[in-house]
Amino acid sequence: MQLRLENVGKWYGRRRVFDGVSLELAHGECLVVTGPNGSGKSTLITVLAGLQRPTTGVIRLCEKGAALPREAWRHVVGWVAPDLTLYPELSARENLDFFARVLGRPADAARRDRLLARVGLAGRENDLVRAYSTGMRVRLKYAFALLNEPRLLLLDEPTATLDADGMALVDEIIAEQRCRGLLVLATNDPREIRHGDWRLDLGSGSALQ
Amino acid sequence: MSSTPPATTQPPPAKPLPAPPAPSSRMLSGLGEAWAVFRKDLLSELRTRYALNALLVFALTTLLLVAMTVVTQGQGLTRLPGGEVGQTAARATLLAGLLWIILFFSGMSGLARAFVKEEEARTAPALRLAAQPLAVFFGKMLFNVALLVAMALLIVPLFVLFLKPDVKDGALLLAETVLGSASLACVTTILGAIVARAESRASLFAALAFPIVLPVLVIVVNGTAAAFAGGPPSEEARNQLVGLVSYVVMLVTLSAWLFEQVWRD
Amino acid sequence: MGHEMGLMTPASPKHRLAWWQWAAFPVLAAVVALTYLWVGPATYFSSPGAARIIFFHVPVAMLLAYWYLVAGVCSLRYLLSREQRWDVKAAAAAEVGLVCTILATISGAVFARVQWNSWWNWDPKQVAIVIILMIYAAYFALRGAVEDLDLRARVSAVYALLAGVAVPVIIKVLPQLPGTGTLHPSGTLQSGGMSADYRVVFWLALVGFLWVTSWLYRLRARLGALEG
Repeated sequence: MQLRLENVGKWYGRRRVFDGVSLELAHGECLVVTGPNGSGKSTLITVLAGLQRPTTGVIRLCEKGAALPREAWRHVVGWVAPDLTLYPELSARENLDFFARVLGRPADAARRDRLLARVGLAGRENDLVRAYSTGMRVRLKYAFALLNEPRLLLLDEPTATLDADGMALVDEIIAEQRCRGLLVLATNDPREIRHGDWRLDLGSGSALQ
Repeated sequence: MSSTPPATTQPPPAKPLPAPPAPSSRMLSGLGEAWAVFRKDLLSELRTRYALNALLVFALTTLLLVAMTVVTQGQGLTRLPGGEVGQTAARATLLAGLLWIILFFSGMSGLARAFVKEEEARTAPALRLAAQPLAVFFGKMLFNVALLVAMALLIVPLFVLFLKPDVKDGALLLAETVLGSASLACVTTILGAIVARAESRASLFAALAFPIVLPVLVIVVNGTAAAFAGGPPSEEARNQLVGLVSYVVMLVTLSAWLFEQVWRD
Repeated sequence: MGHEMGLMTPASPKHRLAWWQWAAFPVLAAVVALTYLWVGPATYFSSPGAARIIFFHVPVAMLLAYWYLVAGVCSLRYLLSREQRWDVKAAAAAEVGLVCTILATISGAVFARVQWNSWWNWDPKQVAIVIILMIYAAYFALRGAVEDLDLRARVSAVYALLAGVAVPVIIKVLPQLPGTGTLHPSGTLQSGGMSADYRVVFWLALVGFLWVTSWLYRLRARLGALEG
C-alpha cells in the first residue's frame, strides 16, 4: 500500500485552507502533520479519509501500483478524530456490529469483543455510548477505526483526553500500524511528533521537512 | 528531511487485499448493508422515539381537529339531491382530501428526521466513511416507508371511526393507504437528505416536497374517494395505481442515481 | 478564482450594445406596431380585439418551458462536470424562467378575465403554472438555505432535476381529476388555426421575446460569475 498526494489543495470559496501538498508515503511509514490551530490539519485528514474532495490535485491510494477506486477506500481507511461521533443511543457492541455489517463484513462477536477489550472497554460493552465519559468515547473510536484492519490509519489529535493508560494503548496501536500499513498523525504534541518518519508542517508553507 | 528507518522492526510485506467480489455478490452485499442501515435506524428510533413522537402528535392532533370540524359543521355534505341523508360524491372526495392532508403533513413533520438526526448528532461522518452511499439511501428509504406506513395504518382506522365515511371497497382503501404512504416516503427520502444539509429545515422540507409529491396525492385522493361510497368507480382508481407505482419507480431510480451528489462532500 | 468568461460578451470598459442587442429593438417595435395597426379582430373571441393578447401570453408561456429546460440542462451539466459556471448558468436560466412564469400568470389571468369572465378558473394549465411557481420558490429557498457554494450548487441541481421529472407528470395527471376540463385550445398552431397575419406577428413576437430573455440571461449569468 502506498499513498500519493500530488499538489493537493483545499479551498472554501476564496479562502485557502492549504495548498500545494505533494508527498509519497510507503508501507510502514508514518507522516506527522503539524501546524497551528486553523492551519488545516483536520481538513487534510478528512480529505485523506475521502470525506471531502480536494479542491485541487489528486490523492491516490495505490496497491501494487494500481490506484484504488474511491468506493473501495472505506475498506482500507481507519479514522480517529474529534469530529468522529458514534451513535450515542446505541451500545458499544451495537455500534461496532452495525459498522461491521455496513462494511460488508461477516458478523464476528468474538472478534468484536476482543477489540473492545483491547481498547479497555471490557465490562462496559453493553452500556449506551451516551453514558460514556469523553475518554471512553475516544477508546471506542479506536475500536471503530481498527474494525476493518485499516491499511491507512488517520489519527487526528490521537491522545487528546486520554489517560496514561490510554496513551500507552495509542503507542501500541501506532507501532502495530507500521507493520500493517501507513499512518498519518495530525498533532502538535512533541511526544507524538517523534513517531513520524516524515513531517509536514502546514503552518509554514506546506513544505515537507 | 528525516529518512531514518522506522523505530520498529522492518515491516513484513503487505498482505494482498481480498479480491473485489463479483458484481452479483456485490449487489447482494449492498442489500445486506442497506438492511443494516435500516435495522440501525429502527433500533435508534425505538430507543429515542425521535421521529415517531413528532409524527404521531401531529397526526393525532390534526385528525381530531378535522374530525371535530367536519362532524359538527359538515352535516350539509351528506344531503343527497332528493333531500334524504346519504353519502354524496362531494363528501367522499372531501374526506379523502382531508385524510391525505393529515397524512402528508404528518409525514412532513417526521420524514426528514432520518437524515437530519445524523447531521445533528454528528454521526454522519462515521456513516459516510463506512457505508456505501446507495446502502445509506435505500436503508433510510426503507425506514421512512416503515415509519409512514405504520402511522397510516394507525391513522386510517381512526379516521374511519371518527368521520364515518361509508367504506364501499375496503381492499381498495387498504391498498391506497399502504401504497400512498409508501410512495410519499419513497419520493421524499432524497429531499430529507437535501434538507439535512441546509438551514431552516422544517419549512424547507414541505416546500421542496409539495411539487414532487403532488402527482402521488392527486392519484391517491382520487382512489381513496373511490373507496368511499359516492366516489368515482373503483376500477378506474385501480388502474391509476399502476401509474402511481411507475412514477415512484422513476423518481426512486433518479434519486438513487443523484443521492451520492447530496450525501458526499 | 478566475471564472471562465468565454461564453459571455467581452466586457469593454465602456460597454456598448452589440449589433444583435440593438436589433432586438426594431423587432419588438415591429411586433407592437403590427399588433395594433395590421392584424384584424379574430373570431371565436368574446371581445375580438382582445385576441391580440396571444402575441404576448403565448410566447411568454412557451419561453417559460424553454428556460425551465435550459436550467435543467445546466444543472445536469454541473453535476457531470462540477464546474461552477454551469451552476451560475442554471441559476440565471431559472431566474429568467421565473420572470416568464410570472408574466405568463399575470397575462393569463387578464386573458381569462376577458375571455372566460373570471380571473382564475382552476384550468389545468393555470394549476400547472402555479405548481411551477412553487417549484421556483422552493428552488430559490433552497439556494438561500445552503451556505457552502459547492454544496449549494449540487443540492439545487439535484432538486432541479427531480422537479424536472415531476412537472411533465403533473401536467399529465392533473386533467384526470374530475371536473377539470381545460378551456385552453390545443393544436391551434400546428393545424394552422391562425390566419396569416396572426401567424406572422406571433412568430415575430416569439423571436423577439426569445431575444430579450436571452439577453437578460447573459447579463444575469455574467453578474453571477462575478459574484461567485
